[in-house]
Amino acid sequence: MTTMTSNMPETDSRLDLQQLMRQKYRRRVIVGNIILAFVMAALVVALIPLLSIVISVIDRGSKVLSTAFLTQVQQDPFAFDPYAIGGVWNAIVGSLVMDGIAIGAAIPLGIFSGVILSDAKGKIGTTIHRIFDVMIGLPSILFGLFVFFVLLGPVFNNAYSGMAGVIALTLMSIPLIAVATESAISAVPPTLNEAGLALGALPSRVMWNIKLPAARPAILTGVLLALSRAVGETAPVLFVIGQSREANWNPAAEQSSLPTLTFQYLQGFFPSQREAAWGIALILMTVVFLVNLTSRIISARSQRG
Amino acid sequence: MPMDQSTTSTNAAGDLSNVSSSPKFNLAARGDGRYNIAMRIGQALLAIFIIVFFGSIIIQSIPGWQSAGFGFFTSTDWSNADFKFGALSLIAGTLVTTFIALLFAVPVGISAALSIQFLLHRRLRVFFSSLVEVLAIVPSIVFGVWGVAVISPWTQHTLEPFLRDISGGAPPFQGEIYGIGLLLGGLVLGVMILPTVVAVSRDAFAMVPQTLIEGAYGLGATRTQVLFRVALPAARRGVLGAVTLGTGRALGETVAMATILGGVTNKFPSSAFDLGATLASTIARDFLEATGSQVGALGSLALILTVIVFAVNYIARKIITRQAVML
Repeated sequence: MTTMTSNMPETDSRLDLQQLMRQKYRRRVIVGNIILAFVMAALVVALIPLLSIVISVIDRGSKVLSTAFLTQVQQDPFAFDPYAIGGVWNAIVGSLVMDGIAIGAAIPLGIFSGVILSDAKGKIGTTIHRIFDVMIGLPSILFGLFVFFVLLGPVFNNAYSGMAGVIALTLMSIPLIAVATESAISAVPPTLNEAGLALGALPSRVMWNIKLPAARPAILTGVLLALSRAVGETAPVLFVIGQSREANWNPAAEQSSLPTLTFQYLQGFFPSQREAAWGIALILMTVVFLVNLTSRIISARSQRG
Repeated sequence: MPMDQSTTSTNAAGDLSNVSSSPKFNLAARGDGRYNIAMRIGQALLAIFIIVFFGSIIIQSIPGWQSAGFGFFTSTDWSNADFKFGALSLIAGTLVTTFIALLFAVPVGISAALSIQFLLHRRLRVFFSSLVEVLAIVPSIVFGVWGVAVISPWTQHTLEPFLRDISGGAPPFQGEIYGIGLLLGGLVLGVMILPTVVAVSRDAFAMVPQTLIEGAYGLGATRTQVLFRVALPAARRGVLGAVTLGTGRALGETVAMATILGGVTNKFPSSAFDLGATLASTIARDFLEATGSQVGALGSLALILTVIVFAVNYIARKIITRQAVML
């Protein structure tokens, strides 16, 4: 541009025009950079709550966390001893038992559902698929209500039971794992499918020996997502597991879980209960973070391999 | 198929019919058949599960409609003590908190997605997007603990007095300041749906053709113009889907709202500082102690909630057809 202007010094008006345009361009760049600064600031704004949550949970949770907190069972504070909070061992046991069984049941059921969804054709098939997609986003409290209204009476004789909570968590996890499985299967290159079929393998064999192994990392990610969701969920089990102050490994008895205990403590009267809620929050955050880290490592490895 | 078999066996000698019923051939037919039958049965089971699930939600809401009638939608008075159940305040509470959440999450989320996708170095891109997505795995009860203990002092002493002073106490920034309430609930909700908005809209930005962006730069567009006049319009469908999906999450959020909003069920919100309740939070708080017609009324709330969230998520899925959205 500079060479052009030096070649044509006689056209003053063009020079002005170019200068004007350059000025305008510069102004556009400056205004644009201000806007970009706001856009970048939004990223910072988005990260502030995350930092705040992590820092406050670690800070206030670590003050509560102790060996006693982890190994003793829950106590109810009362007026003469407002700090008698005990621990959360009963809730840890309850969460371990219920989440373990629920995810153990949801893995085969969810993967099978995913295979069915990937095979689903026709109007009914696509409708089922669409509804499963939508069910992932349904409020989890609906699964708790479903178990309460449909199963608690006929199956559990109107008694609260950890197994009812297990069923609610399983039902909640199945759509998650199913949709993850379906999308993982549909992401397997079609050439693999065709190669298998061309070698004379049946669709069932192609599914079992080719598609599912190829989709395994993505399915595992879905399973771990469902696990971290199940560990942290309060609403599905809130109405059906009752309240156990004892640590019991029997899933069929009344149970307690870390999130529901937090919910109770938040509505409790004593400040010590609200402090204990921070301790449970730290446990929950640690668990879901580790699960998430595992799934990230798995997906990173599968992308590299 | 059976006709073929019968013709071969009648026309040809014994060895040929042996071929048609040879183990290999039979295994093939039978194996595939079993698989197909298993798929059919599985599909039927899934259909039954869906029907029973949604059917039960509809059926258990019937007593609520019978006892409250149409007043369920027009009355703002939800009172457990008097057994009066009008859901209008709760519906309004749900919409107001979701609206506040979107006011926060849409601009911040889309801008954050833009900056992650277009302004950051490739390596930082992965780091920051996974950092934002960590918010998605924080259990909702932890948001409740955090909102009550960390954010509510800030809204009480800083944000809400500031809003009231700057607006001169005009609606919707009027009345008593409690710290907890609709504004706090909406903000926490906004943080909760942020990872959904960021992840899905970032995905949409990643799908914008590189040629389009390079073409814009080639024509002399500045970075800002590329972002807002090229990338954003090109990805508008995915961004719209992200916002819709976030809306669905916000409408259904339960436990955090049950701890943050204050649980006031009989006041139609007139100020952002008001205490309130949402459909889901009311179910979570009241269901265990519910008696008599209250159970049916809460069941009706569950149906309203299901219909709203289902519709919003269905629209979101119509918009985002490309990939499974798990966040």
